Amino acid sequence: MTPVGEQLLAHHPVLFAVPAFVPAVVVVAVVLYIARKDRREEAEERELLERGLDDQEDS
Amino acid sequence: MLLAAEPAAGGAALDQVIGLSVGASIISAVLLVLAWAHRTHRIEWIQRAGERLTARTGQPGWAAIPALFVASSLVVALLGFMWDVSLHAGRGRDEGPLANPAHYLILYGLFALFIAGMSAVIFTRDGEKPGIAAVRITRRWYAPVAGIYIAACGFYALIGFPLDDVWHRLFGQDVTLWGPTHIMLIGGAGLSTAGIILLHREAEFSQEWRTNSANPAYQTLHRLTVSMAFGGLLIGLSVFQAEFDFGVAQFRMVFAPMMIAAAAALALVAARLYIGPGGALFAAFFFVIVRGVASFIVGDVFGQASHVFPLYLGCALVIELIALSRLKDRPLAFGAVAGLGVGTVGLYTEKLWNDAVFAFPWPQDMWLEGLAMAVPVAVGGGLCGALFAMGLQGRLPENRAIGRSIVAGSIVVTSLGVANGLWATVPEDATATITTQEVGTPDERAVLIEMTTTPGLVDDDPTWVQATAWQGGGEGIVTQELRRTGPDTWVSDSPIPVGGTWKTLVRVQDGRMLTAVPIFLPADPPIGAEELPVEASATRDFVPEIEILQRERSFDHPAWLWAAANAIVLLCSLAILAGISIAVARVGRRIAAHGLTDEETDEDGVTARPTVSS
Repeated sequence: MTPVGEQLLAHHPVLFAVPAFVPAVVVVAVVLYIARKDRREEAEERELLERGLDDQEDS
Repeated sequence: MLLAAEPAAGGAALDQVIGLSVGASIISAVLLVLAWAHRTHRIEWIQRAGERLTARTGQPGWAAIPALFVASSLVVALLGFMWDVSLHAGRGRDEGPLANPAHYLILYGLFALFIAGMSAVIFTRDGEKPGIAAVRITRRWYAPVAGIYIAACGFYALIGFPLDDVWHRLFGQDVTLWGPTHIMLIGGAGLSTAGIILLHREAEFSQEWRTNSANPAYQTLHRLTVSMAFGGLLIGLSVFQAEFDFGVAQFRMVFAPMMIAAAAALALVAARLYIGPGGALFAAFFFVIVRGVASFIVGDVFGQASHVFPLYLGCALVIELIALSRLKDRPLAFGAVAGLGVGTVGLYTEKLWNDAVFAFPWPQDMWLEGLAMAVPVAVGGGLCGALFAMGLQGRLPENRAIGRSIVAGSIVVTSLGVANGLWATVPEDATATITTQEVGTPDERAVLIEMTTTPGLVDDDPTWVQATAWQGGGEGIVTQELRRTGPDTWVSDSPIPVGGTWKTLVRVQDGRMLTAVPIFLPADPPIGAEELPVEASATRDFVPEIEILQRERSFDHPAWLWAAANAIVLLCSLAILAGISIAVARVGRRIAAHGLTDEETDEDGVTARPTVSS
């Protein structure tokens, strides 16, 4: 590899693309987090409900 | 401006990184807060904007806002893209981010594309389901599947930017459109056009459209926009051809007919089947108008290297004619036959157009191989186009294996075509003796050349023997077919620029052979390249074109790294193709299960578009 200083890479527009792709990554991550959280909560609620029903049947 | 202070050769300064990071954080926060405030009824203007658009278009806000947004983003991205290619062709690699204003347009377009998709995702609230195939995000939040797909396309294109940077760090800067990360950038935008069509269909299954669809003004607008969207799909599928459009293709000519046939078969078969009679022709006309305007703006208004584009009208006409037969009632058979028609008769009309306006004709040398590549790909494209239309109509084949095999088969056939196209050879120990005669001025040097090659190197019917000079600044692309004066001798008929920043070479393509001899190459200190001066007479070796056209490329990297990098890009690309297939299938199955819109079932009391026949 040639020394970094001799490459043209610092010119490449990755830096000025930061304000576009970073927010996109953040937004996607937040949506995925919310979706997963809701599914986990739903599963927990269902479990609670089923346990409650089981308790009723037992009593 | 932060970036203006960037040193000529060094890395980015820390304050720039900080400034841009702060910018990124603010934008992220604004987006998240807007979405949250809208969804929790803290702000109502997004809702009101949607309602205003509903009043104008009859469409629900979750379709009208993104449709308008996507269309405007893609127009900006397309213009930026064509401008960018012309700048690179005319001037070479970028001097810096600010030196290439086209990058702003591309970046804005791709980011807006992502936001447009997300606007569809966040729009409906209070647990309302948008359309017939809404995807559950939470128990109170549903999103139209096309909105998710469009956002995914924007996301896929945007992550192309950092990946592109990593790529250039590893492999050097490749001044070709077909760098894998470049394919991500343009492919994401190109494929999002299919999302607009799908979103448009999903919107027909909304309360708003049920109420409004009787209004003839809304109906006309609705039909017009979806017809234009198919033209947009054709534009989206044609972006990969840009090097050929500019006359600086760095790949074998056999790619040109294959790419044209693939785009035409897929987009136009789908347009004809879904829109009805005239749908394919309308889409092709839309393509010609939009690309014509873009070409005019880039070439004439901005004064950059000019370009042309395929016509597609012949292909559209072939499809319209085949659709006059009863074959169109069997969409898959129609798709295959129409693909065959596009790959043969359609391509013949494209050959006439190509030979008339493009820089280089399609000579006999490439016919057989070109057809062998284009016909199977066109048939696959026609079948996929038919599947797309069938999904939109809710009449996908009941056996899911059929659809999957068609899509997978088309991808395999296309990959084989691409692999064959990339297979190019360089002759061993072949040389060219080039004598030059200076005819320009000291400021604008130019030469006339005479070339004698190794005997028997080029057969009677080569694909091209041309002189190319590019990256000379401004409109700097000059290409010229050399005139053959004997079995192994050629001359130029008009001056070819040299000196300055021009890269001037003779290129030869004959069958699989793709090779070049340099005439003049400028010194390029950043990449450690010395000037290759013009000689009055010199004998030079034929070398792989890539060594001259992409001097910036670095080749000293391990093979596994190159393979791994390609594999990552390939996986991302297959994921996006799987994404559109799944999205279309989801909408199609829901329509098949829940029925068509009222309008479609009301006509004469029978279903206008047959549901699943069983």
